[in-house]
Amino acid sequence: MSEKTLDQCKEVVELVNEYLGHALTAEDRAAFEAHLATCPPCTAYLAQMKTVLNLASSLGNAASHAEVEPQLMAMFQHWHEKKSR
Amino acid sequence: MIRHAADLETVAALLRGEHEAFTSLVRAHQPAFLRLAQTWVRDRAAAAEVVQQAWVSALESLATFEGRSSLRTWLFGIVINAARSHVRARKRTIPLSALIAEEAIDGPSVEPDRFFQDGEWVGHWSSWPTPFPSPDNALESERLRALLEQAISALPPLQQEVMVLCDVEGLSGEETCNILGISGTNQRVLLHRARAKARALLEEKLSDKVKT
Repeated sequence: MSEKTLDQCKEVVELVNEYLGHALTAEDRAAFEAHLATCPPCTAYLAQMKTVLNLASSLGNAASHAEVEPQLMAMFQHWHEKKSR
Repeated sequence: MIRHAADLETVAALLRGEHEAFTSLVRAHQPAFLRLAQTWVRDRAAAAEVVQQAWVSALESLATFEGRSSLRTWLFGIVINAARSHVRARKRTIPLSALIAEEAIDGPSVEPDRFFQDGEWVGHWSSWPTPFPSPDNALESERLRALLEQAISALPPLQQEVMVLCDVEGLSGEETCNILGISGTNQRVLLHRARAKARALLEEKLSDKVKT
């Protein structure tokens, strides 16, 4: 049985998400990696996508250290007083 | 069923009226809440009002939180509902099914004209992707983050929500489906489309910067 090959770059880019999410079959993964080994632009595309995902997750780490707005604290106080009545 | 013990403690502290518990919760989640609200309500001041309304709704229904999901997931659902209600109240609503039909459609990740259309190299890159600068110093990293924020905020609302929940906030596909009320298949297509567009927009913005 011959090994699966991925010849065209435009097919490879459609598999990048599944590759990054470890959702490819072993056969597809091997074909994807074999293509990448000989294709600088697809390697660059994968690197771009990794950068996008790393930057996106870093956006989520930006917890606020600012003071909580007074009206939000007042709202909390009001809610608790109303509930306690 | 996994109960979220720490979250149940937080809820108990809130019900006792402990200000520190509320302050910590707001600090942890306010940036994500604003980002989620802005997927529907572009105006920042209006989005801040939506978030405040979401906090009110969350406190009002706090006693019903049972720890079936994490508190964060539960709160995200409330924010998204508040944002969608805000839009609905202004009669600019589009049914979820219509949005899915519009946004969760298969299409190429990369513009077809970036590949050779025929000849020996058909399907191979004709215009190679330009490598992104490495975010190896704080200034470059901050610039790239700002450009990605712009790229994400330019996505259609459902794609934006899915990308914010999955890639920015790190929620699982299943949690995202539960919050948004969409199927797993639609979630995967929306995320695929969103990432592809965000990458393309970032590439475009970076090449604009190079030209100028």
